[in-house]
Amino acid sequence: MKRKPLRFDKYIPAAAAGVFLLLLWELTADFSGISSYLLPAPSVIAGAFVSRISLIGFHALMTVLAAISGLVVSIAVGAVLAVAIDRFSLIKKIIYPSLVVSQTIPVIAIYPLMLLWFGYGIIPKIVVVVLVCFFPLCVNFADGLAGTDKDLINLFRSMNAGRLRTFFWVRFPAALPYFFSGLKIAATYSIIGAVIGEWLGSEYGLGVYMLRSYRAFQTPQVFAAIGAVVIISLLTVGIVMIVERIFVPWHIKKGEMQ
Amino acid sequence: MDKLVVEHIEKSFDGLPILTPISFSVREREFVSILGPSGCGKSTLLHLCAGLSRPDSGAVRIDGNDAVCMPGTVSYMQQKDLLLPWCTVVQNAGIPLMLKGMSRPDALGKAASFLPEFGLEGFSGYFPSQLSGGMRQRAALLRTYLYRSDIMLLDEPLGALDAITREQMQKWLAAMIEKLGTTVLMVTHDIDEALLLSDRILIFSPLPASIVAELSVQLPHPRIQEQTLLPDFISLKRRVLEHLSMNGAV
Repeated sequence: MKRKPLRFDKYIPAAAAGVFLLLLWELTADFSGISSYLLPAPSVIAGAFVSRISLIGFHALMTVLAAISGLVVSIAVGAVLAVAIDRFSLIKKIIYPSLVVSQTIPVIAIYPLMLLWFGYGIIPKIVVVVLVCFFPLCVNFADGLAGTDKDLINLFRSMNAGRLRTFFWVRFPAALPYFFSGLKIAATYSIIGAVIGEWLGSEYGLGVYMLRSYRAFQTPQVFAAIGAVVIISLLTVGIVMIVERIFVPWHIKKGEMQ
Repeated sequence: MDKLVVEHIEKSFDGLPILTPISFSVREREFVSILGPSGCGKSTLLHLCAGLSRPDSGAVRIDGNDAVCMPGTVSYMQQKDLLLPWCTVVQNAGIPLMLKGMSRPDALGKAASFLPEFGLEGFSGYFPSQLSGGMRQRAALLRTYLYRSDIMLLDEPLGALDAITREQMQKWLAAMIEKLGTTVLMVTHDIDEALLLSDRILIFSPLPASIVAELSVQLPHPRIQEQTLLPDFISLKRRVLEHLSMNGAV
């Protein structure tokens, strides 16, 4: 299928609004006399970002590393669980409630314990990312598998296709768009999950950097780190969308036609 | 020789009777249409014939063999075209061949060789979303044909098309089926379509469905749209309408 090039003109209104707000913020901060540790102007934040780019870059890399590792584990765990839930209704009955319960656990409360178990390294961060990411992945994918057009399944049944081939030829590809909408949610959660983990206790990462900046009353640096988190999150979602276009071009096309 | 035999089929869902004992047969190379009001259990009957669900009682035989709950003995085309959106036309058409164990290149090659006949020449690499409704329907029909060419169950194969495309497709389908020598059991609620395509028409009552009349259609071939204006056709149509209205269907 001929792929339409990615189009960015639809983002122009959002970008314009963003620029306008930044301008407003800049003027307010510059002329209101509020000191920069209470409300730093965007230009000050940008200055902090540029002057500490290598340090922020290093911490960002640590954050991304934890987020990506957690996301990969989540995809594996989520997909396997989704298939198991779809295949065996008993597993669904057993696991589904605990999946929901897993989402109600306050990460803040158990993180100190995880630090004791796993230390201050990357592992507890990955655990937090997995905890927040695998749920949207698993639930969306399982819903997609369960929601396959019954007539399509009947068609393959009428051709004696068998369960396995019906899965790989019909149900799996039909569920991919659902998987990707879960992945888009999970991708944003993964960065935030890693940052929260770092904030609660770690040696490296943007969360650590933010915490230290706060304690030093370096508010511009806090905002610079927030900016980095935003940029990374947008990039992650962008990458997921590009991968989606490669793997489910038919779905994108349908959406554009509607 | 009877290709498909349905004997005293009964089916109900949640205590609601859908099919009261129904019996009929379709001879080899015969085109039989089931005509009836919407929601009268016609699709349920095709489902049973395709072996996808079990009748409460009765038997289905294909080529003399028991076909109850034996999917795979007929090819079955449902109302929607059900083309896989991630597969091209030729891949979609080749699916039944691959399911029967043919290697992928052979299956695609064979499917491609049928494209001209089904009016899809030059469209082998297109995806379903890029095709018109009529072409999608022809692609679905090719897939149906490639699964089993000797007997096909068609559930309102042209139901989703606009009136003009539908007329063209009726003409094409009539010529195609005659050429291929396929036995067909088709469900429709379009009287003209049934008369143009069939050798025999079974008229169903509203729920619970039973056969209220059987009409043999002896109109000259090839049947073209203009025939719908001729006296023979109109008198047959009048008879069909009488049967339908007598049973409260119209």
